[in-house]
Amino acid sequence: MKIFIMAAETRRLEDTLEYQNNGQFRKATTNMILAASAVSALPLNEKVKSSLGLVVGSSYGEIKPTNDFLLTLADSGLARPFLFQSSLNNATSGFLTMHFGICGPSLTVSRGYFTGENALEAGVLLLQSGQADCAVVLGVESFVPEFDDVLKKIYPNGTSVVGGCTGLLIANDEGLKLFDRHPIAKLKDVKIITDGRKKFDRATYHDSDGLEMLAKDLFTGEDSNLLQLIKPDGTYSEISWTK
Amino acid sequence: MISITGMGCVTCVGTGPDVLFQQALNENSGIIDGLGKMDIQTPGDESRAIHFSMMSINQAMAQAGWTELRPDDGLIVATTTGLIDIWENPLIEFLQTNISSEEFAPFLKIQPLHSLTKKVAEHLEFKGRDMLITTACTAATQAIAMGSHWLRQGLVKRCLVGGVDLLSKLTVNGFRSLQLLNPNPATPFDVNRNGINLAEGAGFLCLESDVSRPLAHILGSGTSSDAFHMTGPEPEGQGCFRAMSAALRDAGLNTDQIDWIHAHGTGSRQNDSAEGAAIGKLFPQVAKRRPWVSSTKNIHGHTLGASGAIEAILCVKALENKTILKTSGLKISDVDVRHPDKHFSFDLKTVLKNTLGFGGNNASLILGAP
Amino acid sequence: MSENNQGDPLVSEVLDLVIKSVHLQHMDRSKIRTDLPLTKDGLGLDSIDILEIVVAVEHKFGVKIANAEDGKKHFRSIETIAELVRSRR
Repeated sequence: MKIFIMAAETRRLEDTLEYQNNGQFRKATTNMILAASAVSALPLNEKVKSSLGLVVGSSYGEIKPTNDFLLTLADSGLARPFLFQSSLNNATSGFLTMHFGICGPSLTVSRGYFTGENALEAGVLLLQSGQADCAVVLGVESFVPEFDDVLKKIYPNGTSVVGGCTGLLIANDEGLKLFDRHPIAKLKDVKIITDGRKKFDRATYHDSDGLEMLAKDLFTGEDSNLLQLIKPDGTYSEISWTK
Repeated sequence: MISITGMGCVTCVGTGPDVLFQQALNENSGIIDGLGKMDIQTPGDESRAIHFSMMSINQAMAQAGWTELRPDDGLIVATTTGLIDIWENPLIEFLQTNISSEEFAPFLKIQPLHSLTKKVAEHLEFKGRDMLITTACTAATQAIAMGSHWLRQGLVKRCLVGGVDLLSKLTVNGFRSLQLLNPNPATPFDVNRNGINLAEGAGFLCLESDVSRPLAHILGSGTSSDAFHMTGPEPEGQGCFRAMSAALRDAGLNTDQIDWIHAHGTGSRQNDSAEGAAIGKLFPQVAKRRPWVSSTKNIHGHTLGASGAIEAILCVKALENKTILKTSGLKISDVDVRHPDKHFSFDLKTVLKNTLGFGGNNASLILGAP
Repeated sequence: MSENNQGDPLVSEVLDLVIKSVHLQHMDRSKIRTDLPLTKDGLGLDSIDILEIVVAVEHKFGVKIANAEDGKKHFRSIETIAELVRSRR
């Protein structure tokens, strides 16, 4: 089965200011806002939505509501329903299905440094197994300022760990017919290699930034059709495609 | 054909699938003061989530005759809160500025849910394909479904799948804040229902294709999203209806070929009425054959991300023993489904297992006798 | 009571608490009608919003909601919440 990449969008926190005072997002977490911002830029028409699945990849999940819930509870004995429902690590996926009307399969997956690649694999499987003809695949992370110092200890090679989201829209042959546009690329393979070691040579942005690197290469790498992502522990992934 | 060849679990009613089934038969609830706690001590400073997972995995692998996980096998673990017993208190201490960044760093490092899968993989010295799924209460069902898709697509030779969840400040207080907790053992589908029982537990299953002596088959699976509300199911159960329909399609079965539905049946008003409506619509009264419908949450409680695995194990034991279990605690039902009023022997061939979760997630599995 | 009873200091205080607890800062405060239902046909809040408001009111005003029925009775509008607080003072 062929897998086509129809679109790819990346959003950072600074791209989401328009959502700050929007009533529809009054209960949204940072991850939800980042993800909604990326997904709203993907070409989802009603036909596509009729056979659409969703895979959210997140390593750290919903940091802020988890912190706020536990701190409020510890400080004042208050358990706030809002914060609890947002603290669940599949809350962003649930929010997106509501916001965009996605009724197909949805799931949230996580695999450390390979979280983005893992989400892409799971999205491809949704298409291959016939559970959906199109899938939104996301990698999303956000942190809180209180964690800055702690994160520097965990990611000594990190540049910025504030937050970001990349969303891909992929389709199988059936799904391709639902679009009135050409695909950006045809995905060949996603490989995660955990028993080999390579020299780590770039700064880490966050655990699910594999999709962001892929999105960048899809648009800029003219001749390149293989992305090798080496992780801080030397394990790596290889994503290949043809234009 | 994807088959289950080994199973293991720990729940608040005891250790192992046989004990779980026996306790359900005897209607011995493990719920005390509204919660299903486990007294098992962990060695050293290991997370209880890892300890419970490894206990279950060792049982499952022994039954399946697996001595190790090979590089071409797969591992999928489901949870909602992962290693929360390790990081929850240090996180609170850090946020209250009682401990420093240095002291907190090792705990933040294991806060990502995948740390659970990683630790399990380390115990098994496994470096192959793995994944962590977190879809609230449907997580383990999604893990079983994902494992069977991995096998069908030939991505792995064999697959170890399951889930684990613990009681924590976050979940106990969180569910309490939603006014969903019942101080007594839950009474699913009962007109006087009064909420759910949170419980701890782990359940793991060994999946293989085309084996000669399976415990049961995974005939099909289906998942869907409500696109309705963050914590409440769509009231008419349309999402659950779509998941069950997708599972039937995937299994190539008609509605009259399902013998028993092991319901999510948490005992919350929202879940029971949505799930009841979905079952009532897909298997209506006018059907020539309606499946029996039961929930066993009164016995083992609601183990969140582990529930799909623990309850699938109970379904396999029921298939093995050719027994349909009743819903313990149910006196007067207010949903339009066919409830058994006692446990009874039945030539059980197929069971449909439902799960519904926060975030509007629905996942259904169909299990078949070998 | 009038359509909008924001002039009453207690109603005004409850209104501020509701805005803060369920994040209604995007709305024009002066146009929020305190007599309308909190739910569908009024402010459009859902069941979790109401629970959140219950938690906030219990905490701020020290009133205790005994059960769901009690909650439903008093948490219909901003004004009924204010009446509850006043009656328990």
